[in-house]
Amino acid sequence: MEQKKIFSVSEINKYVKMLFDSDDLLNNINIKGEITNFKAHYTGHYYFTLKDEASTIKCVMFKGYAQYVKFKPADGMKVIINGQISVFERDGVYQIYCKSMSPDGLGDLYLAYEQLKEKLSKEGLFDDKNKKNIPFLPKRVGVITSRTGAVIRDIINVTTRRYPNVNLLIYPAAVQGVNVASTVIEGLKTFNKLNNVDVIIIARGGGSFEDLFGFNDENLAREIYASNIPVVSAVGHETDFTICDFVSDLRAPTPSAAAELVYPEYSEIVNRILKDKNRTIIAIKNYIERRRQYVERLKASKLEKVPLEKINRYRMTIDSLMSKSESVLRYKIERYRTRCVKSITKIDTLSPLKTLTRGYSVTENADGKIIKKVSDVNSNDEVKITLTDGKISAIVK
Amino acid sequence: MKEEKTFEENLKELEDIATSLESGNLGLDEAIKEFEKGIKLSKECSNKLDEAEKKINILVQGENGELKEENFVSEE
Repeated sequence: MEQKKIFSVSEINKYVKMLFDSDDLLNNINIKGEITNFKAHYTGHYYFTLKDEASTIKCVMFKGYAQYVKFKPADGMKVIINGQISVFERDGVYQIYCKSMSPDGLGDLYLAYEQLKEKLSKEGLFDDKNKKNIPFLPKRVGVITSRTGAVIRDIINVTTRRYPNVNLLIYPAAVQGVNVASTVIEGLKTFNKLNNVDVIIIARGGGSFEDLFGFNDENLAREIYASNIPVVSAVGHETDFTICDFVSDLRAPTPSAAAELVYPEYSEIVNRILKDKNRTIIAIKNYIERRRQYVERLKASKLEKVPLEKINRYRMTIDSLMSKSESVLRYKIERYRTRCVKSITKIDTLSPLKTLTRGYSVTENADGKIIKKVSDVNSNDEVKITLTDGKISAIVK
Repeated sequence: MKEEKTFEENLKELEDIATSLESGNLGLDEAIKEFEKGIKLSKECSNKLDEAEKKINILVQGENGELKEENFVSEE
């Protein structure tokens, strides 16, 4: 009987690899399937498994190719891969050495996403200049998310750990399915109408591209853009990007990170206030001490006497000017007084009263008109006669 | 929200006051005024921090469709 050749493991793996590599089909092949066990190694290589309903196949994509993949591959994503199937001799397994990867099935969705992103970007909805500032310490935070699940619990846990007296107002929204955009839009509208929060977090946990697709909605993007209240987007994990992330005022990689971004650490603020208060107190003490010393030095120096002498000189000048102006005034007053007395004497001589003392009298009719001629009166008219010491009434005969 | 000075602006102002007092370039009256302002601000900031009360509410629709706030209890 012919003795069969016995091979070592290495030899047989090498042989199988040779067979694979000489096959034209396996050298350049397109395969579609769903990604599972995806790992992005820190070296930049991707390791994952591709599966369909019945089977799986191992895949590797080296950094040189991985860097050209336009999206972030993730478990559950359906993709089409181009590459070469070969054998990894050490483990005796065959796998796909991927050269390119594109979304399958999602194709249309992905395209829609890319197109919407480009359209809104051109319109300026993502521009930094339109982004509102997130308040440093919000009085109240609105959270639009599912009322159940880990996301809201994470947000509550992280915020209260940082800042004990949080004030959160939750708007329960659908974060999966066809109602995502409409309920999140409703939440944004509600908060803007109530105007009772000063920052809004839109939060959702991680998921596939399809799971998060509700956040790639044009109306939602426009509502976020229109919001008067700053919006923080925390949709999916760090590697997931949605239109919601781009248009929001701030993107948080995860819901927990959003919680950290909106609430500062309580102890840090307390320390900051105390530090600045102490700085103020020490500064004023030093300031006053410096001033005091300055005054002391000034007192001690001869300089002190110079301004006093100057002041005294001015004082004397002022005094002499004062007495000068006083005597001028007094002279003027005297002159006015003399003129006044002269005028009074003149007026006195012309006064009718003076005439009356000499025996003349003044006669008026009932209307108070002075009677100068006989024709001014009729018989029986009553007249008044003014004498030097009073008046008498009389009837004309 | 009301258009009053924000907490952050007050914090910043306090810091600026400390810095300008440290520079020592102010006149005496001004320095005293700034000092008083700084102490007032630090008090205000501390009060603001402690006046808040922990509150976690959820908006729910009432029977007539109107929105009301209820205390949020996490559903496991």
